[in-house]
Amino acid sequence: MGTKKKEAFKERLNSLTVLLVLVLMLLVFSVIAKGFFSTRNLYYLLQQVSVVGLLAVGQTFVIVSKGIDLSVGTTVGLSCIMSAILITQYHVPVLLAITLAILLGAFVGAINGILVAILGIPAFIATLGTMYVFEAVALLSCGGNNIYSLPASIKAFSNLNLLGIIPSITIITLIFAVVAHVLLSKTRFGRYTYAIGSNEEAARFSGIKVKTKLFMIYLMSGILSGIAGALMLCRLNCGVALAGEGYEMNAIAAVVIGGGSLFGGEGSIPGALVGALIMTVLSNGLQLMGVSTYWQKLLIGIVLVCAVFIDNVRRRKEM
Amino acid sequence: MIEFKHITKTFFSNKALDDVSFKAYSGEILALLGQNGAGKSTLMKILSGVYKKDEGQIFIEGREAELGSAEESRKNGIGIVFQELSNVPHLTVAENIVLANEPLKGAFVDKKKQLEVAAEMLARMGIDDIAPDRKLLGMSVSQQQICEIAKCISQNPQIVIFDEPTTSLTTKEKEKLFEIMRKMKQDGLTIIFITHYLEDAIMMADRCVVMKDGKVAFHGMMEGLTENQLVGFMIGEKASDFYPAYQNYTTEETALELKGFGGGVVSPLDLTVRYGEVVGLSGLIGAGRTELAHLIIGEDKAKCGHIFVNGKEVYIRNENDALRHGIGYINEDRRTGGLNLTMSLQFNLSIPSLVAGRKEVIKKGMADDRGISRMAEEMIGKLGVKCSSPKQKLMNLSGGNQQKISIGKWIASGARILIFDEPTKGIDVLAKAKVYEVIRELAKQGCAVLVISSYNPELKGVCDRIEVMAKGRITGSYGRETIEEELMLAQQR
Repeated sequence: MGTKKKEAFKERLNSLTVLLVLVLMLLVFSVIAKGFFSTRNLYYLLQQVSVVGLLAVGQTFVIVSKGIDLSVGTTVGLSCIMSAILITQYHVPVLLAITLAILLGAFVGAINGILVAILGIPAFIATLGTMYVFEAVALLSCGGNNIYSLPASIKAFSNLNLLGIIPSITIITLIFAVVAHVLLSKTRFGRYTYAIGSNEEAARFSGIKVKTKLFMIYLMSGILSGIAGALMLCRLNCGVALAGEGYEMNAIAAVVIGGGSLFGGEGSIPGALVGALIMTVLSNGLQLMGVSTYWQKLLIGIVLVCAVFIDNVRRRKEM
Repeated sequence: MIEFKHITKTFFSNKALDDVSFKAYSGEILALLGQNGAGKSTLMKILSGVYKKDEGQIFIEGREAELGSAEESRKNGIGIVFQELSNVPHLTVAENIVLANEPLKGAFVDKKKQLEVAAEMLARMGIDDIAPDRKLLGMSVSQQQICEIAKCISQNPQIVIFDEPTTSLTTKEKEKLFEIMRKMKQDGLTIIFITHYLEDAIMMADRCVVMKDGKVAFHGMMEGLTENQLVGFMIGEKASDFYPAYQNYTTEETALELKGFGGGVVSPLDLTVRYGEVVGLSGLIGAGRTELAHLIIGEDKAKCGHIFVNGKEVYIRNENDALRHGIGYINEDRRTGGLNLTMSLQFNLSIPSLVAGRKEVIKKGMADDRGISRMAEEMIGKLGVKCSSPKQKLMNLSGGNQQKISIGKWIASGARILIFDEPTKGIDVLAKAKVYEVIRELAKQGCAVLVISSYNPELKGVCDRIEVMAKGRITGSYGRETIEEELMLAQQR
């Protein structure tokens, strides 16, 4: 029993390391970055992390299954601009417009799923292709212009909050994250995702319907990106075709910092959320300190590579 | 000459190597024997710079050598011919031989020199039927292996290690390899020969080292030793009772019936397996036995015929259908098609059960970790799996223990028709005995078992009936009392 407890503790310690890094960063920025530890800034930080966090949730499933979804950033923009167009130009009721935008996300996800799971095109290429295609669709639909003058209800929803510090869109992300966590860690679908990611052939021989599951994973990533687009619309209070530009990379980085492996079979939702927070806190804290965005990118790049390097060292020790 | 002095290597308080000391001299072939998990691979990984030793020293030609990386190992004159070939099929023989060590002319590869080097190496081995400018693609395993050896000796090693070199060779190809090994020995190289085939070791080696549980169990001249003695050193106990005591459990009830069933290389054939019966499928490599199994479980599409399970015709389009009809397939290649090596034991054991919807592992529609843990502990006990906990990652287990998990996951799924494909390939003697015991136990519990094996004694040891396949057809059906010659003749038909 002794060794068993030790192993369980070790496992927990590994997942706690990233959390520890986050707490440390929060402490350091609270001291050295003026205005970091204020209700206003934390509120803003949570709003900022919500979109990437939701994308990271979907991306976790994809990465655990040994795939990658590069189209999520584009889908955010597509969903954001489309709902804005539907509301302002076609006078579709807000809720219906958002539902349609989410369905559009599902459509992108379904296409990814067909390309990857059914036609067997490598996920990197398939989703790179849909990324370009739907970026074009988003830009063409609005001629590249932002869409303002959205109804007041959107702004009102965006301003809703819990106890004055948890924004409404963060609550939505959290709800989906909890559901996704249960799905990944407790259900059979979750187990199959790990099985496919760690050895697809063995998974197939074990009776798992690999194609169906992979299709569902990409579909889910698409739906969550559609929802993230709706959250983006609320946050920006305007429709922007390129609202999610580069977000796919942030989401992937968040999953990987949180313990996900691009070799498949590893990763968790809480880890991905902590990873997303680390990225967001870093850029927010640096911004408050007056560090230019150029330097921010440099530091985020270093943090990402270091995180994966440390993880690799840990894993080699395990062998 | 290479000398190991008190080498120790520990993984997780588990001594993989425990005070290992021995010498191998120039101009001799030293056989390194032992079961899987005895420490041979660990020792070789230390030599090739993959692992670092915890304690001890290695002397090469009298000088102490630090082998921290593959590069250092190569510089110290160590060459390894791996079991799994590491050639690049799209390059030519010559390109493969000089790979990562290309002769240069300015900044470019000197193509002429490259061909010369390759031709010289092949000539040194006495090979004249391989053209250096041919692409490797499409060459036989034996020819590819020769290229690998040529690459190895092109770097002028003093010590060459052959790791299970004969596994995928025919008898004739094996002779060729042995000829090359003898020639290298005459050239004064130190040769370490790792093999599971005792007959080969006795024929080729001057001296032998037998390892057991990370220690050197025997170290001495090969001359005069018998296979039985060697097995004795390897397991430290008598090799008797290898096959379980036989009792016929066959019932009248038909489990699996194929009628005019075929596709691909498998010609339409009939086959019946009853509950409680163990049926062997004997044959040479390429006879179509694995292909038949793949047709049954829906991995490949059958062209014609019918499958009946429990007397009812069924349609199996994929492994999921097979599982739902109670058919489990223990994959020949457990590493690629059988197991999730980076995941835990209990994860692996639970997957088919989860797919089959067994209530032991599911609670309120969710995967029940307690139930899975309980099931895993039970299966680990039943199969005698050596591990530190059900949560241990599978890749840290020996081949034999991995195979037990590969079998256990199907037993746990409740499948009543089990197809074993080469179940004892690459596992040690004790694990083999356990696999045989498990197969008979399954029959006793009323399961229908089909065993594919290229090793006839083992089929005779565990089966009630043996069907021989050759060129996609069934060419004979024999009882367990049949003599091996009969089986071998049927394999040639």
